[in-house]
Amino acid sequence: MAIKSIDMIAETLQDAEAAILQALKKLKKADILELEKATKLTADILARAALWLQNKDLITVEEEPANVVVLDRLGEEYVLKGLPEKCFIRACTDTLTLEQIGKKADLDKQELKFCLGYLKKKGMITFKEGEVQVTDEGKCCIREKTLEENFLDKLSKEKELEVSKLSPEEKHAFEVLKKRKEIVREIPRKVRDYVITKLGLDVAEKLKAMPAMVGVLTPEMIKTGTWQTKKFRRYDVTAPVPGIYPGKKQPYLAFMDEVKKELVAMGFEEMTGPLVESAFFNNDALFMPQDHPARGIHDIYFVKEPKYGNLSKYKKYLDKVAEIQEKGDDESTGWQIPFSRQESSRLLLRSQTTAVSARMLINPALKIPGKYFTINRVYRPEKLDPTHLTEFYQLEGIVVGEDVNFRQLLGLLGNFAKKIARTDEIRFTPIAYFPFTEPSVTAYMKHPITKKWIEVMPAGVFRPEVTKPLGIDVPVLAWGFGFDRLFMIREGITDIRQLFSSDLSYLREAKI
Amino acid sequence: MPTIEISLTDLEKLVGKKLPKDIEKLWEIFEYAKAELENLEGDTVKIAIEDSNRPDLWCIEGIARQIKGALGVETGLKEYSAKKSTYEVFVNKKLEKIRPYIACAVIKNVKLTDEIIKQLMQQQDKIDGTFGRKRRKTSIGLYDFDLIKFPLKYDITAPNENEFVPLTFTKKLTPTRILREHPKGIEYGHILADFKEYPIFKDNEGKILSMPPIINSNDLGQITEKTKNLLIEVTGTDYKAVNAALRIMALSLVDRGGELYNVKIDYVYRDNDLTPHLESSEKLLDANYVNKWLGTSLKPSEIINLLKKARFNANAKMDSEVEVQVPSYRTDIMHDVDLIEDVAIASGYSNLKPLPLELATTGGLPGIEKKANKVRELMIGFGAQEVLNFTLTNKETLFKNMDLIETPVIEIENPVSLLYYCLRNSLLPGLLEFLSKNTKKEYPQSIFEVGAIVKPNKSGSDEEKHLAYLSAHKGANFTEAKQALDLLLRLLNVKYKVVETEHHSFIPGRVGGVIVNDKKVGYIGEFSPQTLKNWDLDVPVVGFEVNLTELFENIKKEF
Repeated sequence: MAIKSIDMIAETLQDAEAAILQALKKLKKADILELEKATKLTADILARAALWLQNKDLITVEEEPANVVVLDRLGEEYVLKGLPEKCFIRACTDTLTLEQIGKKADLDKQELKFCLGYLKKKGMITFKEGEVQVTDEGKCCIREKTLEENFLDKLSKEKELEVSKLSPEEKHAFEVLKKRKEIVREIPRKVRDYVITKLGLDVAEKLKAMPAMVGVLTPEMIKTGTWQTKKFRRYDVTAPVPGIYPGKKQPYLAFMDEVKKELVAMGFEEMTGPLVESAFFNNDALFMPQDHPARGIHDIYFVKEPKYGNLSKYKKYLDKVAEIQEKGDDESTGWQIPFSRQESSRLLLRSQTTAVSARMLINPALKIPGKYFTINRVYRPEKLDPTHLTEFYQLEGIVVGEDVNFRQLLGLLGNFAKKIARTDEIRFTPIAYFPFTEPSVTAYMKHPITKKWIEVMPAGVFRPEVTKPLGIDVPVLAWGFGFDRLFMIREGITDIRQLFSSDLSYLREAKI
Repeated sequence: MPTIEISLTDLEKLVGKKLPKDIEKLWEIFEYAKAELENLEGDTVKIAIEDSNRPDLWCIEGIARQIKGALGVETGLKEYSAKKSTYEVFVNKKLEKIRPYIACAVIKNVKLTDEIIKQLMQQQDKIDGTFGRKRRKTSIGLYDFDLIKFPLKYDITAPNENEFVPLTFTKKLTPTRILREHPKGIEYGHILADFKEYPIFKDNEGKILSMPPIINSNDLGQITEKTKNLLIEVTGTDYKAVNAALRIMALSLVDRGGELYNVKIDYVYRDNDLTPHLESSEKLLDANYVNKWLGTSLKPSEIINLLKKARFNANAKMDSEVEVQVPSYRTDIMHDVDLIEDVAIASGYSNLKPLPLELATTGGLPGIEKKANKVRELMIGFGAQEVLNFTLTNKETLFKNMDLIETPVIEIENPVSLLYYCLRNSLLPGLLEFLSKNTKKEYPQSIFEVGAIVKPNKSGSDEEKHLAYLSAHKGANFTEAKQALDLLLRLLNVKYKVVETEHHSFIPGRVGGVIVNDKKVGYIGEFSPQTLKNWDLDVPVVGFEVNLTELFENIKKEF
């Protein structure tokens, strides 16, 4: 960095900095108290400005050991209620016994003893036959402050005073008070002295000749045009600034918004369904036999109360679903196991978003041809760990159309890989089974970093045993997968719990 | 996913062909049998098997059968038949109400090696577990045929009679004690828990073979390398499934060179049976339907070849129709689409070229989602950080920490955690919990969430979309919260009122009800020091929660 000219340095100085330099030009060396006196600025402003000056090599700081005096335990008390001798005299409005005075002035035995000796010596009281009387001298003294009192007042204001810099009067008061117990205390300290440098002196010299520098540009200046005659202080544009935290989307939800936008652009409409679902939509309508192992308590959360929902609205479909499962039809043998309608009305927390697709198929708003998707929560009885959540998101979709087919489904999955997961490397395998699709397929994608094939997208064509009872007589392509993993892969997240992070710093700093 | 281990040498012997050692190529071959190659270590292949509807593929013999077809070593349907015999099983009539079905087969002259026994046990375990629904639906027993005197009795026993030595034990136990003391009794005893009498399987001399579906006898129910002839028995509650399980076990041993004999089952409560059932069935498949479903243009002759590769027999019929003979072990073939998947697999998924899906449709979000997105934008513009919380929570969070009296919420019957056992009925508790975890972070903190809450009703639940907002800092006050609410409702063009109300989470006199169109849609206020203390918060917090579902009813405009 080029050495800045004295002019330029002078133009960067803030008012407080300039004030310190001006003061030090005279004093050459000063501590913070002296600077306060010279600049009329507060200690914290001075300390900050001094640091800036130090960074610009305009001043240096010398730290020297020095003794300072501070208030001690009784000193703090006396500052508030007065020195004992003062309290003593004030209390003596009448002729009182020592005991009465002690009570009135709130003094303990030791203090009373001291006062008696001290005041008698100074001729401020007389003490006869156990009774105390204040002399004229004493009365006079009530109104006047002693050197000690002045010293204590100052000390209370300044908190500490450097012993070597005390005035002769203060010095005297200090010596006197030091002999009394627990009023003042002398302690070693490091004292900072600010010393102006050669460069500082040059800059200070320059300041004299310069017009007042402007910091903030005000509307007033703009309106009146006075800015033309002013000089703007130069700012240090390289200096760091404190961070700010404006409102921001949650990172995972932001990703979800992006994917939704992508899907909408591809012609998909979003579909929705409830979190508390019936076994009918979650399982039965999907041709999952009622004794299917994935319908048990290890795979599904069941609702405690109410246990059963009301399916009367769906009776038409329920009848047909029951029939295809129990007896089959002219095309299918069905499962040929008993179907319980009560089991079908069992309430549970949705365990797969395919339930949403089943609901869409009976929705009067369904369009044929039509493309639908949902990104929604599902629940599984899992303990939370880096790879499991008990509630998480699935991305699910269907394509309904007279002429849609399995190879188009493969094409669609390839398209998702490109648009959503941003990879061209995809392979399809038949290692997949779902009671509701046939043929089924699992798409594998190559992990962008590990280069391993990872299973991401199970899909298939809905079985006629699913679609026909729901009143659909055209093929339906279906796909669904764990949405969380897609985001984790893209962001390099290894702990799934981070998706629901309650760490405000992460949310504030998450890159967009 | 369950895995099985097989020996590659053993598989090559069964297939009758050397297999590639290259893992990628091997993977592709296994795909024909719906088996996912997990790893190959020396001679051991570990494969993950889908919990599918193809239990015939859960064993090395079944996989080999399928691969033989795929590689062209042996195609078309393999005929299996059982020789006639005089073996007979009599079924006690009381079993109708306990465990009604039994199917048996006898296999002779099979050469059992350590490896084959290992595979048999693996297959039995897998079928009992998944297909047999942990032995409730079906359970398999294997016995040394030469130690048994026919005819056999599938009988019942009182819990304290018919002592026998269960497998792996050395002393005789009564059925009651077996259920209590034997590991398998403890594991599967619940299947018999409702009955006063238990199934027992005996031979003509009264020797006990097993106590289905719990445990075999240590004397008769043990298979070793010395065993030449075997009896396979399957009992269960589903006739079709019992026979399917028997068939799969029996055919594995036939593929190992065994001779299969049938067994007559004498029932009182149904027609007598002759097991195993090995008859193939017939189906007509239309090539046009195959092509429509797959998006292919396969000729009937090509479909026939592919079906043969998948181990079906197939012949051309009239026009585009193909007559398919389905082997008995393919219990999964319920519909033509099941055959279509086999056609697709036989042709190789990697050979099915993806087609572009050209279906012009208009995409879009539902109105409520679009409106909710506008709300999120406004809250972000107001300077609030969006957060995402779980909908599952606990009552301490929802009520105790909020200083509220408990109201009904949707609870889970089978929770796995003390922290997550009910659905939230409000968003504010989750947001306060969020703040309580961030007390060391820089203030001011202002956060919001848009999300679902659920409340129970008589026949289920009501789900609502809510918005909640919180601001926490040294000077947080009611005005600030109301400014945010006002901004939101003003810009959404909704007329609203805030009226005095009571709510225990807030300071009395500093809480309002938000009213839109005479309906209460939410709360706004300054949280009480007690609520804050419950959450270990030591800064003032203000905020509001509104029911967006209700609020949006008042917004006519479409976004």
